[in-house]
Amino acid sequence: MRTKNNFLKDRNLRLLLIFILLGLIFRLVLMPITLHVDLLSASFRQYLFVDNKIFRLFLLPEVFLSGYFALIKPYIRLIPEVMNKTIESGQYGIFAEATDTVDLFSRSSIAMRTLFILKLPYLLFEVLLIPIALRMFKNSREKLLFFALWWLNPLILYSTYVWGRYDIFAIFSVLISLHYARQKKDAKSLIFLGIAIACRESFVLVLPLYLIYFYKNYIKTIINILVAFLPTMFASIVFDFLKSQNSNAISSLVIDSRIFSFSIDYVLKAKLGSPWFEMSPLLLLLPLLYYLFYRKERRSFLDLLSFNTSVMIVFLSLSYIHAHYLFWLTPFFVYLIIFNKKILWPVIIYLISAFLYFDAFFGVNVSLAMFRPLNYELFSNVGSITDNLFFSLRKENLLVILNTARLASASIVVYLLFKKNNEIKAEN
Amino acid sequence: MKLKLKINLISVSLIFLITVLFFAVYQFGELDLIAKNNENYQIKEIYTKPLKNESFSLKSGTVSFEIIPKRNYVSSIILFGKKPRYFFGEENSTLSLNINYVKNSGQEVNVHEKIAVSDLGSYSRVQTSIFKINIPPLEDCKNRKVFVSISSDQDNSALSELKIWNDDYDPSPYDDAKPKITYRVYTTDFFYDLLDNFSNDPKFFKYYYILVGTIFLAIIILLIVEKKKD
Repeated sequence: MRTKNNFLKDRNLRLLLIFILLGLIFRLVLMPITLHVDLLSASFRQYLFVDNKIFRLFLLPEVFLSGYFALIKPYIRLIPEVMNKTIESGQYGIFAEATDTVDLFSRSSIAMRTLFILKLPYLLFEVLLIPIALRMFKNSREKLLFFALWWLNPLILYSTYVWGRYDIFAIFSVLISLHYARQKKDAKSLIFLGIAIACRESFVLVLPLYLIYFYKNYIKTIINILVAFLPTMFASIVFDFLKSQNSNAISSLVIDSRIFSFSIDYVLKAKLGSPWFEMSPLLLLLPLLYYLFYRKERRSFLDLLSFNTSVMIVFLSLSYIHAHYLFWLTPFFVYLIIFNKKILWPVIIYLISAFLYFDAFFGVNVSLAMFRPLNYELFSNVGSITDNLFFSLRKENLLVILNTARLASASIVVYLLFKKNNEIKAEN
Repeated sequence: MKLKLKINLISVSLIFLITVLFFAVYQFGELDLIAKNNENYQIKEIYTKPLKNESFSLKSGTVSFEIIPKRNYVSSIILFGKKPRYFFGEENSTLSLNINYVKNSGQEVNVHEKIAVSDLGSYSRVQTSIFKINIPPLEDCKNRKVFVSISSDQDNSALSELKIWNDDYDPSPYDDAKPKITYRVYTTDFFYDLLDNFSNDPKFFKYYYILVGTIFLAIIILLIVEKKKD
């Protein structure tokens, strides 16, 4: 029987509030002082759509954020100012459009205020979903652990509030899908996974595991696949409608926006940071993981969680990605650490080594230069974190060391996930 | 309801220690940051004729260049040089470092230092070496032309060449060999810059401070209540 009293004791409530407020402080501090070119690019596209009806939106969350843009238009005059200057200079392009405008934007006296407003929907989204998060976990220990791991999570802070990406919507959908998977509610779980896929297509990689987990018969599986892709189909209809509203202004600059930008080239072309491979190791490892899960006689929720995490770790470790994509591991890690604390330190080491690897690889795009609005003359002229710490090492050697650490710690995490020790039963 | 606070000696000591550490860092803290942007490093005048198009030799001669720092307190110059394998066999070799610039206040600054070759760094690479030349942090050098010259004091043999790459030469696609300078950033300096930037938009930051301050206060109160309940 469900008992409310377990959580409503004062101490638990106080600790919960402390975690949330601490998380809030970190978010509020980071919001106005960091800027990445991706945030500007997305803002430009949303502004173009709202102001000029030019459709260049990339993914589903940008459609939602465009609605927000319509509301805040009077408060973000810096965006059109910077955009117009970029257009006048002839530098308007798909990705390069905002590269030089980062400097232009950062120097403005209202840059920090504008950044705060641009990132506000992410904060409001997280706050509004607190009641949903509270209902997702049974006992007070799980609730407290979840709120500590979520609200103080550096991956969320980095990807959402420093980099300014909108993957938070996809991540939360995955979390809810896992919650329903734990309760064996296949339709609800797959709908939310479908929303996550529509927001960020990479989560399609875990769909086969869900289908195996919920497998009853072939017809049911086919229905489950359709359910999972319903949000994507609906989003495509929305995209087609919005495209039809496209104005003809600057038509030569309009690109073919699409819901599913995930490129199969990613996987097949072996461009995975390992040039000595002729073929992608993912083509072997992913089917292997699916097969191992399929072969299990009994598939518990923890098994689903472990295999989901393994698939995402393998994908991210063998792909050419930006550092903030590590964020996609958040819902899986958060859930797993609640039930299997042994993986906490290997996860931390994996994330640190992966982050440093991408920092060394991509340089200032990942690093301190994102704090440019805080102090333009300082941060626009600094090297990356690895440059400052390890400048004496030759870059090739540094990349090899960090990549080895990253892959080794990823292997340890995957190994621990398959090892059944100290797991707490998570079934209902 | 009367709020009773129990004074805990350990908590007070810890808070005191954290406060002292904070002010110590604020007052004396320094941070070296590498400025990668090549605009900060411009080779203007070379007294030694380059042996090849891509490098300049310090073989019994002088290499000079000019930098225009974006901040005050330049504290080191990082150069990528070619290191023949016998270079560090010259135990007693020294170089003369001369720095000359005019401060924004109009005062001329001349720095003369002797650098032991063995101090230049022992970072080994296949073809290149990194030489970090530490200099006294240059005050008031922001946006000023700072003239740097490095001379060899001895008539070094051909095996003791110190070659410095100019900003166009990149020996490896992974190797960022462009010269760099390091700024010594003092914590007080950093915080003043920060507050200066915040004061550019007082209308927004007024409300921002209230919001952040309120949440911070709420956390403190909750922690005190939590401590009290224990």
